Amino acid sequence: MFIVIFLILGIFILVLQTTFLQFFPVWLGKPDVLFLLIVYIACQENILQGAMVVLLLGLLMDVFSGVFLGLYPVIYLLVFVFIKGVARQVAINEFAYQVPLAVISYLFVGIGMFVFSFFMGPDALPQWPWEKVLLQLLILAVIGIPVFAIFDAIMSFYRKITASGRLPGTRSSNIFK
Amino acid sequence: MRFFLLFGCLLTSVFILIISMAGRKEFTVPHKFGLEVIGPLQTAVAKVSNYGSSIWENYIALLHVREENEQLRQELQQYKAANIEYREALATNTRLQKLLELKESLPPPTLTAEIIGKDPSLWFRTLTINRGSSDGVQKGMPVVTVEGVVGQVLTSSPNYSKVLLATDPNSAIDVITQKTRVQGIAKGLGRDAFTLNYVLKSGVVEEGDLILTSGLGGVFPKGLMVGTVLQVKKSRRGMFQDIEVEPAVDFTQLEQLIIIMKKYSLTED
Repeated sequence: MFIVIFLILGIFILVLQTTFLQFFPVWLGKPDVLFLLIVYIACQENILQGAMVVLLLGLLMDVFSGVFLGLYPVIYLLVFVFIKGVARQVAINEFAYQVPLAVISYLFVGIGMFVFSFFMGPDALPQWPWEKVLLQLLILAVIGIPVFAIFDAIMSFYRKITASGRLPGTRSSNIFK
Repeated sequence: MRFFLLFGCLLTSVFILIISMAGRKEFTVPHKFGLEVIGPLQTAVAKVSNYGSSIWENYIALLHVREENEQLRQELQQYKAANIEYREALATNTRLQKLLELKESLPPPTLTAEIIGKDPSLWFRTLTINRGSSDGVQKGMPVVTVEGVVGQVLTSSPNYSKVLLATDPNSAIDVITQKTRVQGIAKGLGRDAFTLNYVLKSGVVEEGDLILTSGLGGVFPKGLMVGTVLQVKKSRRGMFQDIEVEPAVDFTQLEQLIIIMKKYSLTED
């Protein structure tokens, strides 16, 4: 169920990113909210389920972005492992720590994309878009805390439902409880 | 008795006064005195009355104006909305007309498609369109628009396809310059620009030259607009020129596309 929740959330964000957010003007940038979801999953959830969701979201991202299939699952899993590695050394449950981690991870993703493209086709190496990368890092830093808070609220709601075993506002079937 | 006497005297004196003034046009002293006393009072009351009257009239008028203003605003909004609709319809009509003209000029069969999604990453430039293998779309089919070359189909599912834009670093198009017929390869730079590769230093290419598809790559038909030469540099080293090309297509404004269908794709693995 946990995987399904994150998958639905991921699909929703992906659809937003490929459609609605594309209408944002260039100077405003297009926030990579899906990447924040990956970071959130890596920070908050356990290894097995988290890795499964990250892998699925990476596969989905492959469908809508990029040229080389398999690039996103690999990059996202590397980010997941990196964050889990950092989490073993530092307590990163607070959003304040997760935001810089997201920013650093995004920079790694960029480098990963660049290196991967270099190996896949040296003559097709993209130019490093400094302006766009810096803008994206700034956007992630600004929207990080509110977006993480929204994810947290969604997960709290989900846990509340699963803990009570029923949807809020509905009556239990056992009237003697 | 005394009251009646007093009243009679007063009446008589008033009567005498009236008789003495009858037939005169000019004010006498009492008249003037009366006027001077009552005049200011009259002025003040008149001013207040006029002020009150004007306020009331203005208020009433304002009520009407407010209603009229509201009505006019609503009408203006309606006209504005209608105007926008007309403009949009006109723009769509013009665009579709151009698209139709282009479609008729291209080798048949062709298929129109709409963009349903854009690549969200900073590193790749792809699109998702609403046509797929069930419509006959195959990998490698060229995608164009009225302005020129957009890219080629990268992969497709039954109802949707992914298009690799010509500005992606992984895209390469065989092109020629329109004026001097110099051949080269237009490669995407990952932003809204191409670089024209493999043009020998002996080749004559100038800024402003139009770049067209050569038809040699086997993917794009000959003569489609690719872009305009923006910058030409000849470094001391190497055999080739450094040429930057500005795309003919505004990739931020893409809406409808045309897929040039082929019986067999030439870029199959």
